[in-house]
Amino acid sequence: MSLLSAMDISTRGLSCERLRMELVAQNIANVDTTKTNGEGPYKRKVAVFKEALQTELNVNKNTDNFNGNGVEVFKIVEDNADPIMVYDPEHPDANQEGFVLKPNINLANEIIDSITASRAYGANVTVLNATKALALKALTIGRG
Amino acid sequence: MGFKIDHTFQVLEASLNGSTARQNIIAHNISNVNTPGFKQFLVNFEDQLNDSLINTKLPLKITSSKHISNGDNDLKVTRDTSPGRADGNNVNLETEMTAMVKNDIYFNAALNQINKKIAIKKYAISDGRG
Amino acid sequence: MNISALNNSPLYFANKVTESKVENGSSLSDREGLSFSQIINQKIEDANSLQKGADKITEEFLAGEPVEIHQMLIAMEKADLALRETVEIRNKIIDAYKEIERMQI
Repeated sequence: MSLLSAMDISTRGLSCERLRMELVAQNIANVDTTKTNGEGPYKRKVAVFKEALQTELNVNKNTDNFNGNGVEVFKIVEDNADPIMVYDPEHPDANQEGFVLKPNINLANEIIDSITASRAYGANVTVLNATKALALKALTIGRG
Repeated sequence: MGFKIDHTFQVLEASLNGSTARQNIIAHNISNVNTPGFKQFLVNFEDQLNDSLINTKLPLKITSSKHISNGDNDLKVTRDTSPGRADGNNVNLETEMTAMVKNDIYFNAALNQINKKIAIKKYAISDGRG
Repeated sequence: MNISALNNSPLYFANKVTESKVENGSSLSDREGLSFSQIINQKIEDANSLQKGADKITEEFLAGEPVEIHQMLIAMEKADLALRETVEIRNKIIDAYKEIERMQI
């Protein structure tokens, strides 16, 4: 187990949180998308995280009960909540009764998600920098 | 080799190993701050060291691979089983960041002492002749 | 007569050592018939005990005892300085002895 593996762990955290931010950006950008490639309005996408553990191949010796290897994206799921109906007869995708199916994306929730992701991203950056400082300091061993 | 490495030197090495492991654990906990159901790891090797050195409950065995070891167990790492937040995640970001800062200081302090001891030994070997 | 150049000579320095105080406060020259080797041995013992003290406080810190970091660092510096001082004193005493040897009587 080394400081370099700690940096890998932080990097995985950064990747996952960045993906989350990207999905938030995508959700917000598609808040008015009524037609997708499939059919129907855009569905909110969410990343589900999962703890990453060391596999047989990348096991780090030197501590034993600790087999953590950071975090990874389990999968990206679509939110299957019902789309909201908005009355807008002029809209090209309006149905018989003049209602349009709009994506069920709550902007407030998306903003909160982005704040959470941003905070976690910042924390991972701080840890990465601290680990780097430790590693560089360790290089001074034996230098007078 | 010929010269005996003193006990404190070995403890310093073991402490640096423990501190490195702790950095890994903190990084792992923080990277999982948004993982639903995640239970954080806990480590406290100072207690293990304390038991061996101060209380002399168990003899400190510095194995050849430089683990901190008392008996069969190496560095004790456990999972925090507390319930945590609504999604089961029990990482406290503030606590972990503080732990990281303290680990930073601990690591640097141990590093300083080890460098000092090496410098003293070098000076003694060179017999004060530069 | 104040010949300040003499103040840098090994003899002067070696003389100063016998008047200097050791850790526990008693002057070396208080003790009767203290030879240079006894002085050196005393200095070595002091340096050794300082090193042991520094090692002890370091191990206590690493084990999580409430030790101030600056205490630990200063202890190690003291041990280092004591060793260097001892070696320098030894060197100066040897130089003083050699200078005495060289004297034409």
